[in-house]
Amino acid sequence: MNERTLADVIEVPQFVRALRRGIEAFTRYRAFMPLAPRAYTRTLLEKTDEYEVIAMLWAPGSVSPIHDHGDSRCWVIVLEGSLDVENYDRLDEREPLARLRHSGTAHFEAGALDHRLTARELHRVRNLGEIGTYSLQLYAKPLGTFTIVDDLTGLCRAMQPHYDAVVDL
Amino acid sequence: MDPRGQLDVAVIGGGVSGTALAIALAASAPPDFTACVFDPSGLGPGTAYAPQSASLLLNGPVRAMSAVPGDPSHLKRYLVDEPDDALICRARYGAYMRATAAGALAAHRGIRHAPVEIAEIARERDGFVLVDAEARVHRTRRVVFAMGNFAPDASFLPESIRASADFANDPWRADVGRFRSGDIALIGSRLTAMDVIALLDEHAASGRIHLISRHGRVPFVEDPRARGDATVLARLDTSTPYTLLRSLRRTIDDYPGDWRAVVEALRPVTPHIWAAWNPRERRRFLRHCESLWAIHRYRVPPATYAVYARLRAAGRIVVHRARIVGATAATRGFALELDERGARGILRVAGAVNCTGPNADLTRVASPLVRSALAGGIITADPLRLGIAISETFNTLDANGRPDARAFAMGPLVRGRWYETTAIPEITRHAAAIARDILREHRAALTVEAS
Repeated sequence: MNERTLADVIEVPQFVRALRRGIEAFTRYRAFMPLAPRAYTRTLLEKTDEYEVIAMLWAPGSVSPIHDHGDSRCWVIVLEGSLDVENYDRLDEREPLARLRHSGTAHFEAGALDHRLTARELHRVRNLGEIGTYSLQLYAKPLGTFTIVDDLTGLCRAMQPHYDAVVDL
Repeated sequence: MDPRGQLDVAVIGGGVSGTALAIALAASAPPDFTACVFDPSGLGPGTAYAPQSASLLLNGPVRAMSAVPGDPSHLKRYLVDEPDDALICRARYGAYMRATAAGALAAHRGIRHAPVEIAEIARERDGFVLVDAEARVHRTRRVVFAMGNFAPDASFLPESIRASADFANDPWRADVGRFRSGDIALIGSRLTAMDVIALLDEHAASGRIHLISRHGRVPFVEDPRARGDATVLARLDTSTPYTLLRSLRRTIDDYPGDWRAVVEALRPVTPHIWAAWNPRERRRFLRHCESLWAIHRYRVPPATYAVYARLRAAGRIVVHRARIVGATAATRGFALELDERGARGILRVAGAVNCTGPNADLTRVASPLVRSALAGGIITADPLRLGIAISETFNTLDANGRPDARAFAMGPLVRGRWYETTAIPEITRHAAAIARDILREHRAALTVEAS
């Protein structure tokens, strides 16, 4: 899959509209988002056939598994707090065991946008700050089956996304 | 390398684009993979970061200029003592690129650099044949065009200027110091002109500096602390260049912080907005909005801007919103005939420097390689004359718009596809994407051969 432009998966004006609705919904539901100690929660704000918008609350110390986004493109905007994203290169393509190399870490403060050129890039997200981090993720198409990789064994597993809460817009 | 000496990939150009690709390949390529970067002037700094002058600074901060994809703090660790928001000297950045390239080559013995110029390219059954300037032949399975910036186009200038010894067409390859006495005309008023002003000041130039450009616009000063605020994207109407500019202006007016946060927020989505516009809208943008966008987006380092502001306040810099309609060569310099919004005038200067920026119109580039690649249908010129036409996967296109799975192009020359392709963050990102595709195909081919 070579989705290199946003326009291939979602029209830009639609992206901007989704973002606007996402930020409005976040403002309204911020206080009601589930909080799990040392973990992150995902609240679905909007879902169409083309995209879904999710608000995430990352408790201090929370960390995601090393994962990709399956066949979806993901755009992350940090709304409050900060996130550190560790990037990984795959050194081979032989599933179910992946050889990984940690290529570096990017730090994102509030207002920052993280985006990837392709859907299959492996990464892990952490909140290393002392306060909770709120972020808005826009997936286009909505996130389907994706891969997580165990950082010790390199074992790949197919996963289905879950929601901790769904906001009825 | 395979028994016939065929490379897996040949990279043409060892400036920042080619170097970023070599670094990305070296990081993940299997040991049997072979690549060669061809560039007579070395590997690393290219034209952009080679000039050895303390006056020439980066206009992107340390935190955004890592050469290693996925590792944004790489440059900061190399520099050790520079803060995130520092704008370092371009020569120092060139040394960093050189050192990082050398490290990458040392880490993978299949990837090397050949200090030769490629003069010709042709297709063969399973790849390409390259001929260098010394008539040696190199065979490769894939090719990546990463030539960076060509010298500015001067075809719009009168012959009397172009033919004169008092005219420098390429500020990066000319000795600007020779213009230190007498008045001088800089054609163009953007970043290149700002750099040339800083160089002239470094050489203690004493004359007046005339900036001549169509819009007479000078870029804004950078605030290296500026970071994009992506939440403002929700307020933009990106459907056409005009609606974008209008909504951008409104958003900036209402924005409580510094306007640069709004402009920076647009940067990661610019390629998508550009790709979504039809050719007519893109042309409109270039004709009517580009100059205004550019002075906000491509900003001047504060130290460079301070030189400009000091000289302008002292009356040593004059900005002309004008076109050059004629010129007569004098014993020294020229008499330029200017059309300043209908009013004709004569401006006498001792020299002139072309500061219009790199030429991306392939049909006007004096490069034997480009000519041969165009003639062989390996590359085609972008319809808007913004370099090489490519597909979304960076593959070059033939005359019928069909992508060539074995030929790629990246860097400043693929601006027509993404618009934002000239700065380091985009270049390293694109290098990583191309490296990933090449290595995936390489591994797949090995699996087929093994079975």
